[in-house]
Amino acid sequence: MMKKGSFIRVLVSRWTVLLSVILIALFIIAAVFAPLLMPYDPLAMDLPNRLAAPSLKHLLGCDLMGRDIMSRIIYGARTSMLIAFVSIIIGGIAGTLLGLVAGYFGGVVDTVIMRLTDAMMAIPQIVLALGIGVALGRSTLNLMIAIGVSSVPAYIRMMRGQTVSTKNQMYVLSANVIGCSDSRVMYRHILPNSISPLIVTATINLGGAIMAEASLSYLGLGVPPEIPAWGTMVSDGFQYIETAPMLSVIPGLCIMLVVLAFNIFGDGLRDMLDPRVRGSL
Amino acid sequence: MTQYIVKKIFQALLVLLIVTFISYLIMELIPGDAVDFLLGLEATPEKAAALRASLNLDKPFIVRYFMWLGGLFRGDMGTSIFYNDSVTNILVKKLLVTFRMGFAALIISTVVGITLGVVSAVNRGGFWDNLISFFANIGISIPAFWLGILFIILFAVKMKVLPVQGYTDPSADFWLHTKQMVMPVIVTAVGALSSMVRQTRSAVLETISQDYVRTAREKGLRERAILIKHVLRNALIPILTLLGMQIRVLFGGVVIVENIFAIPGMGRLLVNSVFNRDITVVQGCILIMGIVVIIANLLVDVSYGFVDPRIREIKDVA
Repeated sequence: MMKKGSFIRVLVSRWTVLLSVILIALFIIAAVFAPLLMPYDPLAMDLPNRLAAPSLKHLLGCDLMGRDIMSRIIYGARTSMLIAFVSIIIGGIAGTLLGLVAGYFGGVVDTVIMRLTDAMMAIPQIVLALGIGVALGRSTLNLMIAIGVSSVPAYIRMMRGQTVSTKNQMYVLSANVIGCSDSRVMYRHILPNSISPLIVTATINLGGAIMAEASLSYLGLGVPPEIPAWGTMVSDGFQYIETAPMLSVIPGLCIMLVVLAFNIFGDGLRDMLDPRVRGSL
Repeated sequence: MTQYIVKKIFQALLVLLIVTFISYLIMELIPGDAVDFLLGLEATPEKAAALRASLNLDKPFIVRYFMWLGGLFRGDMGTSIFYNDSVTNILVKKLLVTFRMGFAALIISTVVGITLGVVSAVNRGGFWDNLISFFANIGISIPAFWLGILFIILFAVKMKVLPVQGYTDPSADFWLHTKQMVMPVIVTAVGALSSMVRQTRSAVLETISQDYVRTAREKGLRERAILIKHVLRNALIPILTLLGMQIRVLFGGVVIVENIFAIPGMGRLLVNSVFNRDITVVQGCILIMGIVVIIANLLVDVSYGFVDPRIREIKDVA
């Protein structure tokens, strides 16, 4: 059932996916090469330049302590990306393993893991991350663990579903019959077949992790205050919204753009990898 | 059907028990306890030991967990060391504020979200679809705290049509209350609304391509009848599933939004209590949020049975 607009839609959606990839690449470059790209030290205070307007010297102006906003935005990309990628690795590995085990063995193991997942899914993700972060103490590593653990249920559900649907396939049953160990079957036969949904889940979760980090930093419960982070910048600028609204607007815009890019990229990936949807966008 | 409902209730109770354990465990891991807070610099080993014993802090973890759990059954969630009041009392006051706001956001996000999702799917590929999908994508990506600040800059600072922040009880000044709640409710609703649009759109598109819809169209039914009787009824299951999950998302949003707009609800209480190290209050907040989400999901599970006779029968056999 092809409608007139659908060709344009395919073009538009591919075009947005392309744009999101470029945007993600830019932010990753900013994160990796932050020390080379920052015009100033993001922590250097310069009180005479307090709340300075954008100029050739300070492209985005200065914050309430006279720190260069451009440099802080670039360093903020590093904070965001680092926390998001590490927490995704932590949550992804833990969730994938648990989902795999739950789906493969079934029975009591499955029930225990799934009810635990349900319980974690009953608590809002930001509250869960906040609770775990507080319990572990405030540091960047602990924040990564907290955000990672709070994202675990998404991977468990996805991986369990994948495992349940592949474990009765002929090639898995054959591997069982010729005497492969359970761990070998899971690692060599079931996991590789679940790689594409796993990548899609992880990509979409990257946006979620960036959002979680920014929200916690906004509340003052994220990265330690001395590390430049976009969420902290939005919250610091809030006191000056009448005189210098850009202090909050610019870092917030960065958060939205990068989360949007990961969401669109994740959707694009899913459509490309899912043969059911492919071609019918 | 009864068997299905009973099974779901038992599952929900089990999950609830695990939630109580998680919320107790998380707070237990925090270094330092209430005694350090209460005594501060005056702490001597003897005083600390005596106070610990009186607060039962000298008992092992699992014993204290069961004592706390026992208290929960009597509606006793412990005492706040910061407010020096029972946690139940504090929470009841804050709950009403949060519920009123969350409920308004839920209604808006569901009604507007489903409507826009259907419009988007019916006009698939057209102008309205592209426009709605574009804004839905932005809506799920926009940080609530930033959207809140943009709203404040636009409507409170520049246009001066709404108050910046604050909260007035509706019984004191209903008009001011309404004006103060406009921005927080919309900001809370945006994320949930956008995911509702996307879910509805894909659910409707999935059903529209089914054979029975083609049959209905070919036997000459009007588009409106097809949409309501055949498409929407069948697209209802995925929409219901999302509706259950929305409560969790809305609670997450409320935590942020209450802090931007200085609304004295549960979200603000939770964050303040984290800063105050007021552990019993934090436990209480996590628990209440968990209970509400679990009840919402239970209602969704039960309603599946009413909406879809297939689920009712399959589950009864299994």
